[in-house]
Amino acid sequence: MERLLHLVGAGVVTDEVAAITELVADAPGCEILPVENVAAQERLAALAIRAAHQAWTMSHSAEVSGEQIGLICVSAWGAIDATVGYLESMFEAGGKFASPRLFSRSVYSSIAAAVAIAFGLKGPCETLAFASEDAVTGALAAAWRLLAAERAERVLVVWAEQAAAVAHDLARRAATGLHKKEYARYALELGEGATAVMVSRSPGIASIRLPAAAAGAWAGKPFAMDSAAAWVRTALPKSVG
Amino acid sequence: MPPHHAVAITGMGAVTAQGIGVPATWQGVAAARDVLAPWSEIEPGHPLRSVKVAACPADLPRPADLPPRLWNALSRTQQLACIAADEALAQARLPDRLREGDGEEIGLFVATTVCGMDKNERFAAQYRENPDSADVNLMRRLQPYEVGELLARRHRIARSAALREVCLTTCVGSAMAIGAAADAIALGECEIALAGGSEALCRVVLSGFHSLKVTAPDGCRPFDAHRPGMTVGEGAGILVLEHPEHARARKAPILAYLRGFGVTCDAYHITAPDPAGVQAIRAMRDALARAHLQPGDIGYINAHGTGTKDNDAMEAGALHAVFAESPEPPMVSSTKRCTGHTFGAAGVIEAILCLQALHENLIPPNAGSVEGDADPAMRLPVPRNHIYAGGERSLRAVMSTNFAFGGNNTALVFAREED
Repeated sequence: MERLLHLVGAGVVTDEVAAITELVADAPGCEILPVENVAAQERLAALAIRAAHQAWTMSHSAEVSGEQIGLICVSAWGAIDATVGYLESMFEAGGKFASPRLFSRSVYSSIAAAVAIAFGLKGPCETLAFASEDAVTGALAAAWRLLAAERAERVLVVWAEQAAAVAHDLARRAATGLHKKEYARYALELGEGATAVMVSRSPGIASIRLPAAAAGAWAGKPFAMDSAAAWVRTALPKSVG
Repeated sequence: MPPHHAVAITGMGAVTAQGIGVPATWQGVAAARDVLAPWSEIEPGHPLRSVKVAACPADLPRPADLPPRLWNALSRTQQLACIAADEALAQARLPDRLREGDGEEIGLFVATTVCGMDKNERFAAQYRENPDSADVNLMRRLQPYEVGELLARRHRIARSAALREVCLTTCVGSAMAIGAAADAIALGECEIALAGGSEALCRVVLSGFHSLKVTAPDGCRPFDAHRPGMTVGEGAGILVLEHPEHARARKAPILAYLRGFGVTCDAYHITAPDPAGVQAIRAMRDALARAHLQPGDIGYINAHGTGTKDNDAMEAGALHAVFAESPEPPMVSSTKRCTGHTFGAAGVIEAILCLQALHENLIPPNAGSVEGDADPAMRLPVPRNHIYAGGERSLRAVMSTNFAFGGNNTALVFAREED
């Protein structure tokens, strides 16, 4: 079954690409959020918000009611530094009160909550997990479903991942006992960053036909964000001005 | 007017602290059977040992097709999901291994919050002592999508990534999964979908809510004026959702219809709900509008009712705003004293209890509350004992509400009739 989405904005923050404006020559209205503006956020939430801000401003979504904008967040590891920090505080506490702040930040959906609060998104806000190679197709299909079922006028889709020393070590250790195919997935260098797109029911700067458009986006990249960043390069026109 | 598409429910399966299977769960909840106890995995003398939880049977029955080595390598979250899925497929009269590929796609939408944390936290403890000797096999169920991958492979369904979701939106996760599955069927993406959630007890969650100071040592008392907090639980539930014509064509048993689903976000606080409940009210009203029903059509609401001060106060106010003007306001109960709060599985387990209430015409009690001690914000009737709703007050439609960290709100409406 073919599904059609309209892309109205995009944002990228990765090791390789500082902003979507490096991929698209003239993105009208696109603003780059200074790092200091998200200094109070957890690292992964800050990355997600910075990428989302580019998509948000590029799509002029401030003109749309927050109740009509949904959100889909995808992450393989979630806020792993908060998770590891919470585990450490739990072991240290020995059953007494561990860190409530780290516990709430360790929950996968805390990134979606931070993004929803930052932009006032009051439509459906989902946190989803997919195998890496399915992360683009799966998330865009979920966004299409929210639009087609008239649950939102627009949906912000964010893929985000953070690099953490412990994640690298865990991935290496986990890979040692794995089947060759699985090993390839874990043994690749973990990336850090976020990719965001704003999709709409109304025509925008590009159209996306699912699932064909997003198939093959994985291209050997280890996690959802890398896969999404690779896909965005192909989905966007070179100029939208 | 939002779109209206009823979807048939043709199967359901559950594992809860009340027992394995929907009948055991329902009988225990209807009778308000007290199953709360300290978690046996916590060593004596440990502070968390003083907190009662709602645990499923320690030894779960291994499905015959899963060899012991594979079964033991699975996370408990995966094991619970397998058992619930088997019961649901059997009731829907579907084979264990579905035949996708003859032009028919079968969706899979499941939820979890802790994923394989029961094993991962053991790895973390070992890693902390000596990283080089930590058992890496405990890490193999780390990533949450594995809960869906196992069910998809085992039942040969959801081969398309577009129809295979694992939802991580904490306490509304499985309600969202059910809603997404229903939308996929209504939009013509598939004719059948499995939807639900699974959650195993783990130290991280018990300790986490303990650190937030919201656990009730002797068990929750939802909507009670002096409620002490929540009870952590574990469990799983799976529904088989199906296009009504497809279900009729293959003469499947139609248990009820999912008539409406509403979903919103507060965008208010990372953990606490908006006390005004504005978006919770919108979710309930949207579900009713999509169901083409009025508030007065709802006879029973299975409330989220965690027993925490913030949730119950917000929910009581929101329910009052939506339903208080009805000529005959619905009965409201929370069943979390009997099942515990099962987070990613809460939405589907409570949906199953709603479906059972509809089928049996029996409203389960709000176990744990003390007579004459209801929260003044709760102005709808909250039964302390189960009530038969026969005769003119026979149940025609019911609602299940769930709310989550991040201000996520869902409402599901089920009815006997398709229209």
